[in-house]
Amino acid sequence: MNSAPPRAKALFARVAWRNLWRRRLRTWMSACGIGFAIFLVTVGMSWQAGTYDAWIDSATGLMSGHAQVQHPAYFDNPEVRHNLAEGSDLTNRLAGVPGVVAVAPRAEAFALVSAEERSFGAMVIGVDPVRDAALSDLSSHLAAGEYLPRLDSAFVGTALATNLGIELGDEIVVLGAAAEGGVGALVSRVDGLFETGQPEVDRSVLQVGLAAMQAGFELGDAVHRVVIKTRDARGVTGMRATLEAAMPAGGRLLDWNELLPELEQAIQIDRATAAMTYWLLLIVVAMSVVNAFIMTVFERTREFGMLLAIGMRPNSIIAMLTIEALCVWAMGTAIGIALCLAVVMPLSSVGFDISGIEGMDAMVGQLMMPERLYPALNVEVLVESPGWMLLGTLLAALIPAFRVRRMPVVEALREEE
Amino acid sequence: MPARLLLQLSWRNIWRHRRRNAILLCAIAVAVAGVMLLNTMMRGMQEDMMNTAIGNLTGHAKILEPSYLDDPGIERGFAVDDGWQDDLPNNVLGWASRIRIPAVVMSERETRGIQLVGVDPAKESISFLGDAEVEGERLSGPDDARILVGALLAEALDTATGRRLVLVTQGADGRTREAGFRIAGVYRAEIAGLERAFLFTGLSALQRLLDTDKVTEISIRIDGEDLDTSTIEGLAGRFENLAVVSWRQLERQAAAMVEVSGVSIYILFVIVMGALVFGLVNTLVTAVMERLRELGMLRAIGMRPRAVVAQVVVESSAIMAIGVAAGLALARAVFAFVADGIDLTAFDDSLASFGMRPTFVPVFDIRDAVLIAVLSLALSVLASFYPARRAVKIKPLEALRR
Repeated sequence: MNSAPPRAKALFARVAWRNLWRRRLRTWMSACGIGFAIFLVTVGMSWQAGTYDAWIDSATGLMSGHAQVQHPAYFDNPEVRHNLAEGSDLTNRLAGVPGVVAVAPRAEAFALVSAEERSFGAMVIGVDPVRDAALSDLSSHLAAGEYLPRLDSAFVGTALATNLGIELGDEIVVLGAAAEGGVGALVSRVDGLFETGQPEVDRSVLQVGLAAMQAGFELGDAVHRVVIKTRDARGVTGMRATLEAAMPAGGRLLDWNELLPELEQAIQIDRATAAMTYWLLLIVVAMSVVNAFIMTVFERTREFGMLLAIGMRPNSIIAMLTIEALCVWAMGTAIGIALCLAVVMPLSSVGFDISGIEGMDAMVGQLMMPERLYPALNVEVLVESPGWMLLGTLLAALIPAFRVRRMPVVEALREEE
Repeated sequence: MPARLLLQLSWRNIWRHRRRNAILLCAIAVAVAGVMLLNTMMRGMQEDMMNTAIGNLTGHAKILEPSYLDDPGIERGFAVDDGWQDDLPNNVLGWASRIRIPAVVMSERETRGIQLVGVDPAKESISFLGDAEVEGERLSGPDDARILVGALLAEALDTATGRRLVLVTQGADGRTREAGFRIAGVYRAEIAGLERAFLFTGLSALQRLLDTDKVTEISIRIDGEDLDTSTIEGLAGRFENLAVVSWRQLERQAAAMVEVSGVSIYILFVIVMGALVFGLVNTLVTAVMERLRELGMLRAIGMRPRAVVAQVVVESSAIMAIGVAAGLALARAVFAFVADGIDLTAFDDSLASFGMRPTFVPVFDIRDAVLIAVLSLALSVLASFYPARRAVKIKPLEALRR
């Protein structure tokens, strides 16, 4: 084909195109098969991309942020004495790093929380209300009252409040181990209640003002975590170096992958299961395209014999078959992508309400999923499955085409049509 | 037309085009084997989540004071007359009464919130505690006032077997109880979260500390169908003023995931087999078109249209049947390699948060295999509709002239 003049090339393409329409139904079935597979895979992938973004957003948004600075031993062994001194200075320095959207210092301790007669164990977190509200959704899960309006306010999970038998305005006493080994204590007034829908959090977390916490637990200016929110959760890894430069020598930087290892793993598991389905789908469709081409080649044995007899090169016939395959692939891809766009484009702006699906409502609350999912389209999603399908189609056309090379011309001519 | 002749004719037609039918068969076999293998994994996951949910002190059902779920505490305890367990249905494997209340545990260094569980160790064969690995000693009986601590909790509290821990909780009178307990042993659980959550002691010993003769729950384990609820409903009548709550309500997340994965098995089937239809129809139409003359001849010598349709349907079903059989056999063979379990320890944290164990054991459910086979055959009949119609529309004269 290389030596053929441009006009001959155009002729080839035209012949190939006409060949396709000799078996209209078969061409359509092959193209629709390819389109079906591409449609399902692209929709599936954009759905996944949307889901993972939502998982990451809501999981990091509740408490943990995109990254945290901690005492090196605190993550594995969260003891009160493993803290970072000079918390406010560190907070200010990290807030100045480009790409950082919000920074919030937290001091925390596991403590016994008592109301009049009852007591429960809970995680007591001292926060700066203004800074924390900028990066954590917890304040938006307000069920009653206000979010830490005063210095001695407490913001308590609804389940914990029920267990303690307290209401808004009641006083609670917090007792725990202080930084220097003594007893830490503080008295707060319950001014707000939150309900996240995650039983763990609602049952065992309460927030108080950072200053009250530091005073009550003899922490001075020390904090346990400085939580960082960046412009994009997935970009945190690239910011490690700049963030680490702003940290004291003794600190440890953890990104959300390390803070929430189950999140990244859940994504990987989900991705692996979906990938198996996609492969199965693509392989099954590729096989039916192979079959379609084998049928085509066998039907046209006589025709190929004739072409060979009048002097056409086997390579040219193979090239023609390849063009036919490419055309089928292009039609299928067009169908698949068009359907995908038609489905995903409206959904990616409006979102898809998953809370209505039976069984999902429980998962929405407990797996940190938002009620609406927005499938996300990107180039990668739109290119990957058509790419693999192209490989499958070309293979499909080439396998039977090699039969042409070994075709005995005389016998081929004698073949019944 | 006699059925035998029909079968023979279709069968020979399949053999006339060995190559393309072989490829179609391969496609069917790959699709069926793939669907079946993915199915074994989903069923395995489902089973795993269910077993974990049921084994982690839940059981198939619990008898509770109705308000205990919202406000767990010994004030929500109850006492049942001793006769309730007489003539239980045969499929009840066992039951265990427990006290389960929130408590704060303190070592010299650390403080944690946990669930304190008073148990009769002999009854706990129905929960994970029955076969948990214990370093040190197990609890000797309901009067044993020592405690069993989870390995991860022991590590967090920086303590070990033989040392003491202080527990703070609330007694039946609403007053706070604070008492020291000696650690009898440290247990390991397959789900790490359990080790952090539960601390066990003898039921009677705990009742003495709390000044009560009540329990907060009776957990019941049933043999056989995990999804069956009739036995649970049957138990409800035995207790006045108490609720019989099934594991689906107690472990809503696990129940939701079990449900969702049950549905996705069908979605997967529809998707993959849907892709197969295109290839199937393609091949069948070609088979009909190639035989136009032949079919015209048959019609001319008096074959009924119905017999022509039957031929196409039988041919399509025969290909599908062979393909399904090959696919299921292939799936079964691959399954034999992984039946002992796949090691997924790399995903430990996440699996635990889904309520799964680190070793994943797929489950080959013969009912699903049958279902896949039946649905596939139905699909092949459906897919042969269009080609068969084409075959019937042939006018004998025109076909003969070709």
